[in-house]
Amino acid sequence: MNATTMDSETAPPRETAPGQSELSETIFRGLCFGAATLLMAALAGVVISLAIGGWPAFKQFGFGFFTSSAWNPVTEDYGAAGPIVGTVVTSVLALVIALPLAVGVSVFLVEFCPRNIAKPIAVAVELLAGIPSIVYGMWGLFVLAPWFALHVQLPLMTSTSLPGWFQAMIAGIPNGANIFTASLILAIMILPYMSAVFRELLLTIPSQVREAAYGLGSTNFEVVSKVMIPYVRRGAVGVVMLGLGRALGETMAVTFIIGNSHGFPHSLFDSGSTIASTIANEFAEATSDMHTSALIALGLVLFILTFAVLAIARLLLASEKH
Amino acid sequence: MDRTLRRKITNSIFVVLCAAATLVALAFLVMILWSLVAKGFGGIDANIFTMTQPAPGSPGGLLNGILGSILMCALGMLLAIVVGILAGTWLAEYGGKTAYGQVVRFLNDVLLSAPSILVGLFVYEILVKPFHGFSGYAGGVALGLLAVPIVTRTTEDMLTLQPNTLREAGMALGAGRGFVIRSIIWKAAGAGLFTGGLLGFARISGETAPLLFTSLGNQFVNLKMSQPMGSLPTTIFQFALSAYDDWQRLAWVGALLIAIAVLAVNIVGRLVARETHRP
Amino acid sequence: MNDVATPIITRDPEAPIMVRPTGDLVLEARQLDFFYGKSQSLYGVDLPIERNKITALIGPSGCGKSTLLRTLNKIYDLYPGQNATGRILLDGKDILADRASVSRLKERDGDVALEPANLDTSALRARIGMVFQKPTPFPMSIYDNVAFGVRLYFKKSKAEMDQIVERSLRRAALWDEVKDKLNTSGLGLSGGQQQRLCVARGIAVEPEVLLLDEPASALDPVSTAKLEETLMELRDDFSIVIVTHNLQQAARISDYTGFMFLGRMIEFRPTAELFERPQSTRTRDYVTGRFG
Repeated sequence: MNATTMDSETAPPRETAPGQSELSETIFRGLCFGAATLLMAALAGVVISLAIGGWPAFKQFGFGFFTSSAWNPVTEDYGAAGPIVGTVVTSVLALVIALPLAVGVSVFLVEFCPRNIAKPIAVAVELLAGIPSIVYGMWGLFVLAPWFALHVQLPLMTSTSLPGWFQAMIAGIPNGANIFTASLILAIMILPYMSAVFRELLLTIPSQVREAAYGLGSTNFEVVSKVMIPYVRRGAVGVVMLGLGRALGETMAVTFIIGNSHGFPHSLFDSGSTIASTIANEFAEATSDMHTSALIALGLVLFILTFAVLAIARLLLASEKH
Repeated sequence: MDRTLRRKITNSIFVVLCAAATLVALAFLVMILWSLVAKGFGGIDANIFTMTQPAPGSPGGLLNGILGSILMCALGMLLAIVVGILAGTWLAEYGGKTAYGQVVRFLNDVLLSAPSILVGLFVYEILVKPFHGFSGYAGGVALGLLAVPIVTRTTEDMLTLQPNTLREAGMALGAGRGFVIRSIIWKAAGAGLFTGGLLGFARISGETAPLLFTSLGNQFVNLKMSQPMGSLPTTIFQFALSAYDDWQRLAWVGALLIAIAVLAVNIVGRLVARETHRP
Repeated sequence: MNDVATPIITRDPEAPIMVRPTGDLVLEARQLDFFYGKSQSLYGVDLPIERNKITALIGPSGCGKSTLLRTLNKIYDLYPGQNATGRILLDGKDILADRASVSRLKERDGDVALEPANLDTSALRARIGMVFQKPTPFPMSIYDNVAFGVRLYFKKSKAEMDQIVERSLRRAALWDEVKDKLNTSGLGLSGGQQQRLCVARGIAVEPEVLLLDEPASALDPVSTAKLEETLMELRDDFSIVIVTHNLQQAARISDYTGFMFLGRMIEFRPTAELFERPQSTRTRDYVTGRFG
């Protein structure tokens, strides 16, 4: 056999199992599996607790819960329509504002920006994404709202030469706390996130594709609009839905600036509420069990909404990455 | 108009619009940071870190909020790191390719993007209602639930990046799979795992909504996790919406502190990532 | 060196042309089949490895030489869906212990009563070590890299471990270059040094056999020469099996060479004979460079 440096007293017989045992292997694997399952349990727990907590409200109001805009803790009459409409309107509006900007930023960084400043700008935009929502909320409340009231609402309201339908659309208290400004803040919040993911998508396009298009003499605009964006079409829709999902669930930025009234908003510049802002404002001081249950029921609606949007987004993005 | 000219003009407009969009985005960043510094910086003094929040009109600081945030973020990160690294390891090394693994991964992504306020509601139902009291523990758990999907995702990504030959080399010496993971693969992915922790921390340090009905808030300095606990974000929320000038000023200071913490964590994360990519 | 033994006359013209080594066999594969899921990649391969010799496996890409190597230390069982049938004898005891292949072997060799080795996979790998194509130092100090395998099996005092580490690094011709920086990371070494570190790591546990899968393919010529020199010296203490696509390398350093093609062992003979007087036309075409 081989010469060995291990003398026979210290060397265990080679046929037995070495240092680490079957048992420790099994325990470790079990711990890892347990952790993964705990994740699932947590998510399941969220859904279940929302369903259980919201059940009394659903039972009491039935389908009318979704169509009624009443919100009266005194008479114990609750309806989700106001917050739901507010949530959807602000999110969609935020998306409408943010999407062209996000596309513009990412296209600029990928196609037009000089290489040496492209990275710092991209980093700066990502930093914007990391700012906590409460900071956005503060900025919205103390900077954007007053500015908006003074420089947009007042001039528009006092101007006499606007068509009637437009005037109806901008009716509202000139304090800057309304559906529109809330959408604006949301747009600023989801913009960096969407542009970062979109930029990553554009970077996956093989350079031969771009070169072929340019080689045919196309302008930048034509290459981007006719070749690049269609190439990542499915992923692009995924990005849109990700942004939408994020906007739907955003709480703090919106709560500060949406005005927090429960009914339907009657105009763009009217105050409103979202599901998240309603829960944030009222939960800790809910006056009764039914009040609490109504709020939790709202939470379940929000969860289903965001889940659906995000599931579609992930599917689209995953299929894009082949 | 000549077609070529029209195309050129369209193109120029397009380039200008894209540049404008970038400027708009950067402008917002500058405006927000500027407001933070302008309104918050002046309020920073020793009191902020030594005194608890005051009644309106009296001197005071943010000590209760700062300490509470530190404690609850620490608890949250502890939970997130333990569960997240183990779960991410399971996905990367053991069951990630199975059907169950796909489900876990998908649900992890759902939890990642779930509105944080709903997570707060869940923790309320399981940790506040049954025990009839708000607590720092509940707040920490809520934060942990928000950070854990980030850690899981990053862990799985970083571990999957490690070349398979590294695992084979360890197992060829006779080591068991778990042993190889713990003593070789985790070490090799170390910097990436650390970044995952940083990202998780960056997310939860500014979270407000879930704390509103788990830890509630406490105007006094309280280090007992079983009692309601103050935190920077909830203090900011309360003070910002109030009518008092000095409270609003303190809110700005708090916002500035949080923003600095988050930016610092992001920068450290980037530096660490860059260091490890050096061969 | 080796006597030229008479070739086995086989009944089957498709069967390999094998010259079995006369010396003591430390490791032997018999009638080995290998499957990736449903597709088969090794067909009835025999491989005799003589103790304290260097055996080379050559053949074109995809011929199965790496697959064969990787069955010998069962590294394939990391991957579900890959499995081997047949016999692999370590010191005469079967480490595959696969009942299904017994009846087929009964017909050919008449040997049924082969003892199973009863080794769990970890213990097996303590006796059959492996060095991979790409150098894979662990993310730890040079010292800890070499000590890693030893620490799996034994509790050694610091003095004893120091001795083992030094001895392994000396045998791998790396000691002089790293003796002053044993506590620095293994990742800081050059490619050739990293590979020798992997060799040192592999021999530190004193295996009986060392398997090397194209160990020099990622190295420059100078490092390659150093590695080959090292392997030839290690022959005194270890039995070495090396897979290589470099024919000159096989001719330079090995005692026996097996030529494989499409999952079959075509010819297995003492190296000089295989290269100078190949008996199969396919072998001849390969070693003369007519295909590769």
